[in-house]
Amino acid sequence: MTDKPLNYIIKVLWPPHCQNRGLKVLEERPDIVKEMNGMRSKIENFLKASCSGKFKVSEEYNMKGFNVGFEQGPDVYNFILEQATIGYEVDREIGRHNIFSDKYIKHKLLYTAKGIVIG
Amino acid sequence: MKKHNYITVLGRNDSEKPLAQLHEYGPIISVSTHMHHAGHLDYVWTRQEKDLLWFLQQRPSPVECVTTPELYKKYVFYDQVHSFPPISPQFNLTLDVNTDDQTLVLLSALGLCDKRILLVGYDISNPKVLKDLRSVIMLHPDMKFYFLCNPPKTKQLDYCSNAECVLFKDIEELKNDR
Repeated sequence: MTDKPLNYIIKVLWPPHCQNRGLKVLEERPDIVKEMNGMRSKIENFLKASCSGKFKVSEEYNMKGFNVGFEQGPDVYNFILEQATIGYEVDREIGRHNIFSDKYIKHKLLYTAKGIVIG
Repeated sequence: MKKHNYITVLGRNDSEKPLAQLHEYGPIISVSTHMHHAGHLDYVWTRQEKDLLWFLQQRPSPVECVTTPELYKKYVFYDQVHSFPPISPQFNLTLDVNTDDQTLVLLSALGLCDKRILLVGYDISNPKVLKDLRSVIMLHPDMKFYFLCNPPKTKQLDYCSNAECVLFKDIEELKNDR
């Protein structure tokens, strides 16, 4: 099969005070936009340094956060684990590409004593 | 993602043809009992955790594994582990924990292929397996199914217009049908 898509998609949440801001508010608050762009750059730099496979930071604006796609499972697992260290929070949902339907199936992330699994 | 034209479903019995030759027709998806041929398998259906781990540890490249929802939840971060394709309940095909592995392999193959399926070493001695096979064939009229066997040809699939029994010695003829 060709054109293999990224296997995993996870949403990184904006800092709480940047979430749910409409475009009008963002136009009036360049400080918030700057903080959001800074966070995106910080995440991208961290991914460049830590990922062994391909990744893609989405350019699309979302009021909750922004999507990051990963090719390899260990990279996304590590990314979830490093939340507290680097200072970001990921949504409790992960999209995994299904080879049969060619779609992303969403799953709830569960943090357990034995590691991160899906519900 | 582009689907395969041909896919070989390797059932519970051994193949009369070397798997390397079958590979010329497309990828091979198998039940988990053919561990000694792991190097020739592209996909495996397994419901056992120890088998899953065994296939994932194969080098240089692990075998792509399709597994149960329970194991998938645990191994979701393994790139080679896939969940079973979503199936809508249709016809008289009932899927449950007692469904034979061969049927589940066949259903997985349908998600990966859009033209022809070769059934090799497919054991139809169990009436439920045969009934499920007929149901799957009739549910997919646009797909062509080739049941590979040694003489005599089985008559069990005769009334399925999109299924054909082909002898192993005539397998080369399928190449012209590509």
